[in-house]
Amino acid sequence: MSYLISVLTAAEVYTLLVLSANLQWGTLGMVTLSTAGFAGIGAYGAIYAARFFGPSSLLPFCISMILPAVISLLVFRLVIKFKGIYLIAVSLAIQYCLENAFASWMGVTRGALGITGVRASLLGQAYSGDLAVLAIASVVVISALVLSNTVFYRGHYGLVLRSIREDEIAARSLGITPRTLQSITFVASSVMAGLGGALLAAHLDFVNPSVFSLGESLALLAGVIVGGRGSMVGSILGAVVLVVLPEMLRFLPLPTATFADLRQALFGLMLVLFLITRPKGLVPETNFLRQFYARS
Amino acid sequence: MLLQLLVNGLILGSYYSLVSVPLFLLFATTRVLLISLAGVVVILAYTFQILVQLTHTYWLATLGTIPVCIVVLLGILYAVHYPLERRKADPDTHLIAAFATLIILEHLVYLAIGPDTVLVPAGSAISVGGMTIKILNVILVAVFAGAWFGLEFLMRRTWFGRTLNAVASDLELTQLLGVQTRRLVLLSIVLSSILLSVVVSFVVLDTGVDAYSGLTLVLPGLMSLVVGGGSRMGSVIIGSFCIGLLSQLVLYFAPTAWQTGLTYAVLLIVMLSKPGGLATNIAWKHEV
Repeated sequence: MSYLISVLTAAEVYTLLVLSANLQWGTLGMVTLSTAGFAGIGAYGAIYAARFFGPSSLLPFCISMILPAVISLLVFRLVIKFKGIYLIAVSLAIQYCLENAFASWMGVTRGALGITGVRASLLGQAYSGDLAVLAIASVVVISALVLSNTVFYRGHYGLVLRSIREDEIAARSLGITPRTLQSITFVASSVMAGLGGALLAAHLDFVNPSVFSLGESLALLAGVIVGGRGSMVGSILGAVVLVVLPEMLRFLPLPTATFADLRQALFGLMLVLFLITRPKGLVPETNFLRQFYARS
Repeated sequence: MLLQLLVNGLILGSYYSLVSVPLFLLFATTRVLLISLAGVVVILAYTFQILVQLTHTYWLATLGTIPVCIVVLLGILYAVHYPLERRKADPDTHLIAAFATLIILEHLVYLAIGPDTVLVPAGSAISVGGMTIKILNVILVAVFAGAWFGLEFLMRRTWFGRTLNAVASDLELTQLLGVQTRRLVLLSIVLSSILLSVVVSFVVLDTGVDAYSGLTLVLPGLMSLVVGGGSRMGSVIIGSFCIGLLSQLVLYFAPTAWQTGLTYAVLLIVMLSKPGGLATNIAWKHEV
């Protein structure tokens, strides 16, 4: 039972993180490799805040949203200047800066040693059980899904964003101001990543820089690909695949010493096969023009 | 100390250049950012070690790794990227596929060889004016200078170089003009394989490579492509030296623990002021 709760919590946390990556890639059309770094800012920010404000307070979780929001607002001014491989390289540089800060800022992060007992420090001793984390993650993820669905996927704002993604010049000619809308979405995505990072730290009960590494950013992009770019249901499915697939491979009769590496290699292979056979993901994005005409 | 750091930066710049040029050649011809080269680097390192054990000759072992590199690169293109191209996948999908390929290669190599670092210690160090320089690194810089001279000749004076420059500037137009890009891809794979085999041999003889360290060599190469500008081979090499020198010079002001973060932070500031790259015009960025 405890194992199932753990897998379910992980799936929920990853839903939030994949949703964040999908908002940037699927909705804004910006591929960035720094989602895990923003999740790390949220996680470390929440843990550090909990030292001052104490557990069982909402403030650490608020900090896990505010801190990435402020930093992403600054970062946005930089990333918006770039496209294609330039954007990827810039986001990679940001991810490396953040990873280096997590690994070297010993006073806050304890570096590679990591921080243990995260649940108790964030949620308090009374709520540090598996079920409590699952309940909190459920509330947060459902709220994020409802909000995303209303604002970014089905609403007028979502349609405008997708029109910017498809043809920015045409959108400008219609009187849309892309920068403001893009920056709001970028910040919203970072807020989700930060909150997801704090929840991930609570779920793992431990945090160190490797939890928010480049590999994790790539895994989140893989979740977006598997689920479907620009699709909210796809984000949920992508996260489920991201969590459940490695767990399923756990039951294969593989030698213990080589298990972790064989699992990763199989994961990579499945990803490549998926990209070739289903490039639009499990749930392709809805044709937004059809959606627009249906509305009007 | 500053002089030692400068020399170290130049050596590092030579290493990064020999990686960024293959990345540039392959990107110019395929429009795929082959980050999976990091996995190829690891495979080449292990091949080099085996060949050194068999032949006891470094240059022969380096020559032996070239066909292996060609086969692996062709394998990656035909198994992963060409099927994606047929399905009209966008560059982002290619990039994720390249990362997935890297994951496969790295872990398969780890399964085959284990956690050991591939290191064939060679050569000694000399002391010049208070600086310590490995003879191996002096040879590396000389090899790089020779390679640069040869590449510049190739790019300016031959059909391959001129066509490659045209393809790098406008792929669709050159295809419309009847240039067979597949032939160009094959030539750039051969050239990239030669350069990669050389740089991997030097890395194995100098610091060593383990199953997961390919990215530490390839990612600065990728950043060089962007920092330099990427439209011409020369600008990519300038980008490589900027990163190499910068990553050493930050050590003059900050502890080693902050080296990576500070290097990339400075690069971000530079890119903010020159988004098109340090050594190119801005037009190419928009085209890509």
